[in-house]
Amino acid sequence: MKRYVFKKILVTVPIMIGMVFITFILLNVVPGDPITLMMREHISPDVVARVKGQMHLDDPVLLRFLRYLGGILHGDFGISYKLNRPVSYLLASAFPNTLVLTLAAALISWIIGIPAGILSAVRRYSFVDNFFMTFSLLGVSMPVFWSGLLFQYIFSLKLGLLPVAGLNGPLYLIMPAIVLGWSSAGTIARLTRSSLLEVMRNDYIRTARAKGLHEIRVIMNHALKNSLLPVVTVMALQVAGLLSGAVITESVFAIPGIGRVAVNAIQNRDMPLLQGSVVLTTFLVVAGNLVADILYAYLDPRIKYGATEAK
Amino acid sequence: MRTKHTSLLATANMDEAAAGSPPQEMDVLEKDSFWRSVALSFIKNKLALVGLIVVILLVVLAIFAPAFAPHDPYKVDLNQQFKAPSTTYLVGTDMFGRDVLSRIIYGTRISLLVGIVPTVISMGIGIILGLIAGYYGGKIDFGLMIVSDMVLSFPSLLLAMVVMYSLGANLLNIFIALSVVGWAGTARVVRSQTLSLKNKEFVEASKAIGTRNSKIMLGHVFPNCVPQLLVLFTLNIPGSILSEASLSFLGIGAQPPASSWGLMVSNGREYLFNAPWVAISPGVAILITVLAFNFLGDGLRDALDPYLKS
Amino acid sequence: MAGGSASLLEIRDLRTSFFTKRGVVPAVDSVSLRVGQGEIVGLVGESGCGKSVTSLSVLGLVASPGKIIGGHILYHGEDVLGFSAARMRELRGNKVSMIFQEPMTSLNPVYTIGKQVTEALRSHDRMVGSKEARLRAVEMLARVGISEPESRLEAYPHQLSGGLRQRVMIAMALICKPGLLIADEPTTALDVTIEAQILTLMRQLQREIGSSIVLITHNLGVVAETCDRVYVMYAGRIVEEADVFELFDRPLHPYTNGLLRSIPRKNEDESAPRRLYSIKGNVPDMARLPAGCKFAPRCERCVEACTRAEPELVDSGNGHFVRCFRPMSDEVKR
Repeated sequence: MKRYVFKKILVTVPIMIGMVFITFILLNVVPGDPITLMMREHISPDVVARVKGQMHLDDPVLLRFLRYLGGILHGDFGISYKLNRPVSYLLASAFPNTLVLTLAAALISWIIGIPAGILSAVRRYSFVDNFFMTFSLLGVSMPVFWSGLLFQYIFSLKLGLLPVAGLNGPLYLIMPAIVLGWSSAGTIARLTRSSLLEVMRNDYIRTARAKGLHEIRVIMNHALKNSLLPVVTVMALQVAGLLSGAVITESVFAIPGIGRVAVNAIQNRDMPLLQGSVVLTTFLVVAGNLVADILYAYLDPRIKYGATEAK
Repeated sequence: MRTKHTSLLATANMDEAAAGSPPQEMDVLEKDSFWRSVALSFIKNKLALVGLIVVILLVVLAIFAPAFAPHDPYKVDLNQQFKAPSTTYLVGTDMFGRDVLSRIIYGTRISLLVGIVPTVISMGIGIILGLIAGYYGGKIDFGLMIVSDMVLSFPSLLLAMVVMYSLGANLLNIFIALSVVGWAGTARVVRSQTLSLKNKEFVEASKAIGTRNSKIMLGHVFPNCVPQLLVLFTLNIPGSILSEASLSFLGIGAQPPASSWGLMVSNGREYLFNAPWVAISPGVAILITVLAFNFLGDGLRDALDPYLKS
Repeated sequence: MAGGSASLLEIRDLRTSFFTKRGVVPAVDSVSLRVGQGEIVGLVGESGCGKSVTSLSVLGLVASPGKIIGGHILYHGEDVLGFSAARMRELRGNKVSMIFQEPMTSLNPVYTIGKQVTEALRSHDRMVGSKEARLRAVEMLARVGISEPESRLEAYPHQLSGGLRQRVMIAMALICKPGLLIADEPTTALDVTIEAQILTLMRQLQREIGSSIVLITHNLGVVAETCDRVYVMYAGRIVEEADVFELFDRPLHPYTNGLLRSIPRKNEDESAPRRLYSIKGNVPDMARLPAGCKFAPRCERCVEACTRAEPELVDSGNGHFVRCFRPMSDEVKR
């Protein structure tokens, strides 16, 4: 098991570096001289001069990349063009907000999604099943920005129950978390349902019943653990989707998180800030994937203990 | 003492005895009957049929938009600002007095194009790369897998945003951005199919008679991937549509005065309280379109399920 | 002949059908059989003849779209078909246990052997504490011939071989000392050598614990080796019932005869090589059975009467029953 984890971590590092590289290339190797671009964007001349010196634009791309990489490892993400502050500082103040939002959304999606999936599987084709599957399908099909606006319209503007935007307390988190989490909840519910249905077809479920176990025990103990294995991996893999969705949700609900920072950076042509936020986000996603792999290995005894045939 | 018929122990098998005459010849699935049986099971699925009909309607709407739109979507008339939905303006007017319904209908063109074209391109790239990687294996495969892993690990919206930053925000660049983001998933699927088919006899046979590799890949391996790819195609389209809508909403996609649904929602945001229809109705259009493709894709997948499994 | 007078299990006119899109499939059509105290009864037939469904019906484990539509299943005189869910659970694994054909997939891969075996015990006896349960599990594992039972408790199913897993299944089934064990093709998926070991084990345990066994199989050799009495099934019906020696010496139904004939045997006369015999025709489509005798299409002794009406099960003396209008007699055999 330890070897497995170690191997996985080892593989993750080059992937992470590669992703930073891709981001760097995409943002720094644009057609046209960046300096001219910046001047066209009316960025102040002293910033241009400073950046020109800093960027060593005559150096080969690879060298610039390595310099950037080295900087990251020291926590130096460069300086924001527009805001003139260290990118790392800006990210650090935005990150907790995104974290809170994403965690809240994830929690909602698990707390609603898994029971919904179980109930749907156990009462297949019933009203409950149809209801939850419709709910899931809507979650996956609705654009997040639209459902966000709809929620704002109904619960804030018309009913006055919840605050419209911002992040000044837990109440402000309710709508954004639900809006963001709905789609994940939908995916999890559908996956749990299909996974459980498939597990229930297995022979060992028949054995459990033949032992005289109560049906609830058969489902909750024997079936569930097996069916949750793929669901758990998906939960960790959803970090990527949640972060993408967070970009939009933060925009709709004016939450000062990394997503908002990234969008503003694009609109302001603030490359270092954009680069920093993308790198940070991808790091979170890669970490999430790693956690998913390790979690799966831990939960599945076949991987945890390896297959050793004993006679 | 029991007299045991132990000599029977190893050999008495009733199934063999009962088998009797040799089994009948297995039906060989002809290409035509394959698709016919898929179509038959597809038709039985009501939701899938609804999806198909709606998609067809949307395509018709997009192609013949001028015929269906009651008003000119670009005509500005400040006297007609923010009219609530009525018989003249079925979904009301927006901040420039433009008919929202007509804009939505014209927006169908953008959405469908943005749904289909990048998907076709990215799947094309993915298919080619996947075939090559799976077929030739070795370093090429390894390299491709690393790259596609990296691309897949990016939150897709963020990667699209980065590409849009580099290229500039307009509708055309969205096609490029979405194509770049989407090839990896297809490549993986095609690669694993290729790997499993590579060692089958018919490929060996083709090689033995000296068929060119490219012909083998296109003529033998690829056709077997088609069912899965069809499903992937129909299910990737809504993703593209949502991505474009999101990017346009954030201001990094289509620019005014285009009638992209996402852009319309974004523009209508400030007037949410007084004129909610401006922002809400384009979203409904998105929802309906995405649902239709999802139903279609799910239905296709269910109809193809027995063949996908084998 | 083994077995007491009081029947432990009596199945009367059991009918279990499957309601599928293709139509109603009468998998078990009026099957009657009985198992006495301490008997080993064989239920033989080829795949699809309904023997598994019969046994699953006893424990109420028939999966949808199957449904028991009639008959009685009497365990110790009580009709199991009228049992509430709670009483059914009390019966399963406790008074009537079942083991299945695929040991590789019949154990839950994410739980240890120990957990699964003790679960069988503790779900029926609330008074048993975890320590005592472990002790009894170890004891049972030892009894089924598993070496180092204590360490095996912590093992996961994938770490054990097929033969070992089947022994674990037997241990789980017998730990509550049931009166009846139903074994559905327990050795079909195993090596021949392991098969012999498992059968010996089952016979030995049966003697020690005193349970009766219903052994379902398609392998006549296993039947000869293990059973006291035999029922032969075809197309959802019992077509012959007899004591085991009687059946092998005097098979009365043409089907049984055909099966015995098709067992390959060494040819004594080298100059006249014999063809391997097999029963002509194919296994019937259960959704479309012919009227009249179900075996008629494949029977060498079939006459017109056989296609018009279905024969009843008739007592041929010596506890030997046969469902045939023209059963084999001594001259016609072999």
